[in-house]
Amino acid sequence: MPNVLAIQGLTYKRNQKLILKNIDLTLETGKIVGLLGENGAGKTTLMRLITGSAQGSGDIMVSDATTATARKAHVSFSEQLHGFNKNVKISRVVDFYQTVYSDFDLNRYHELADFLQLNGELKLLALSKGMREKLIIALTLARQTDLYLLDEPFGGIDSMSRKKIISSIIQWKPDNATMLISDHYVTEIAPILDEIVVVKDQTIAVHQKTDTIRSESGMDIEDYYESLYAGGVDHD
Amino acid sequence: MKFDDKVPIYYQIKNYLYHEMLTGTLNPGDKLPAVRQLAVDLTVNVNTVQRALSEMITEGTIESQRGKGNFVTADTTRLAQLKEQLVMTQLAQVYEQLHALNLTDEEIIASLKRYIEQKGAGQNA
Amino acid sequence: MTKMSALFKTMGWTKFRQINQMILLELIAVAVTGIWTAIKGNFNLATLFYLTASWSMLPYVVGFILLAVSTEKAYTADTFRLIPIEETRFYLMNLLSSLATLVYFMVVQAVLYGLTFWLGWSRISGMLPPMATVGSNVVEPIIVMLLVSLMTALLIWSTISFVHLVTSATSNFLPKFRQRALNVVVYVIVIFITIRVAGFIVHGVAWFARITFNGTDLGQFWLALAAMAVVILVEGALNVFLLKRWVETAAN
Repeated sequence: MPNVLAIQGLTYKRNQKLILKNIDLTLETGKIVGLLGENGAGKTTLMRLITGSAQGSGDIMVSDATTATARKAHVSFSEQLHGFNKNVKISRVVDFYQTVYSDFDLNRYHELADFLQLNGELKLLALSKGMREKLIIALTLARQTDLYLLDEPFGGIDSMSRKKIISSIIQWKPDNATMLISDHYVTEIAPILDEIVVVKDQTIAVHQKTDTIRSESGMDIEDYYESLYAGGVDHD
Repeated sequence: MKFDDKVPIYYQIKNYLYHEMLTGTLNPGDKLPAVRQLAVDLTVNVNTVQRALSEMITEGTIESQRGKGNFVTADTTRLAQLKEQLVMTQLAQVYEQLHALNLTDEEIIASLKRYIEQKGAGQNA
Repeated sequence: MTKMSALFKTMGWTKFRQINQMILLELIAVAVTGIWTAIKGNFNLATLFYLTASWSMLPYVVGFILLAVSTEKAYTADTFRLIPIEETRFYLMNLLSSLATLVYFMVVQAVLYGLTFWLGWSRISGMLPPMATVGSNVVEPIIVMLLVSLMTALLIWSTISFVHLVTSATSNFLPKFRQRALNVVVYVIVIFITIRVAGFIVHGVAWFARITFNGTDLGQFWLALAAMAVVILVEGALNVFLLKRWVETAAN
């Protein structure tokens, strides 16, 4: 199967502090992959390096694009809309996306917005945490691209919103696109993951298929993940 | 539906579909929901549903028709075999466990009979 | 890849909205003080012109600063930096959309001045100095004056960007403490240069007023404009380089 993401020898330092060290990672086309790790382990940083929002050393290839500018056309990242004035209406944000992203599909957006019950007339400041996260998901998935990066889409939101978001991921991820979802609490999304990638000690500690973990260790994904930190399980 | 996260999900999807087929929710020859729809209904990954279905196609319990979708096999002999196979798997577990309690085969049969009688009595009361 | 026109449109829209708010505030200020003057019984045809003249500087300065802030925010906001477009084009569109908005603001101001001046013409005309004292060639000084104000805006903005991007890029190499120390040094140097440049401009404006009314040669002013253009281009090249290699967006 062709790879949608290929990272080689990626190292990242900030203020002379080593955050990620010599990372190699390839993701196949069409997968949903969980990116796990403690807070501050570097999950968000890894995503930011892929989009070119953060600058490290090493090779990152998305589809066939190697430069940061070219990669941006193949990656849809769940950015947090901080660049917008809080008084702006959702419909205005949608216009913005439609203007600047040629792969933004307005029909897809409206389907997603209907499903997630987003009201375009609301202003950004009027959105609850769950609503805001739904909007970010709808905008991110409305782009038709090769790689989707969802950074902690379930942080601090109610379980109904969480379920809706999970359903929309299953429903709207294009078959030939790959999705990387970061989370530090895996149980809720474990059934939808093909693979997990664990960032630990500045590098990728584990990259494994979830059903392989289940059949080989007999553990659920959360227990397996926690066992990495207890140091009890041999993982190779 | 809820999955046991300790067991491979594709395996649980197969069991779920077997159950639907044997209890008559899905009849012989019925069309299965589309892969993505199944994934949404079960809150699982499309690839995992695909894996479960392709194993079932290989086993001959469902049939894939190009462009039309997947159908429960109309071959009732195959379905009967499937039922037999599932019953045997369940019984094998019970048998292993009772055997581990040092029950002989006769004692196992006798206890099973007793159990069914009691359960029947309980239901009639 | 995203087209430059699309980026210009979206970046311009936010800035356009900000400036319209400034214009609205200016109109409200003129209206409120106008009504106050009327209540006090001092209102005449020229009042609106005087009020516009006295109020216009404040929204202009605030608008200028708001545009600078928007321009800088775009360099480190994922909302803008995730857009697939080459950095040079991004930089150009960011700066040009700010400039276009500023020109729009100037035009609106000019229209306001013109309108209120026309309203109060009968009163104001008597107080004007005789036209004869204005130099014979008025077109060239006006063009030069416009160019100087636009170039000054570009120069200030690109210098702010340069400081912003340098201080942001240093986090790539230096530990936190040394980064802060270096940033302080950069600020001090830039403030010093800014004061010198401001001095040059103030000096220039005084000089400019002299030539406008005496009809002296503008050659030296064109030279200064060229010097400003060179600085803007050099800073632009450095800024694009910094954006490409070192500058990161603000983390979520």
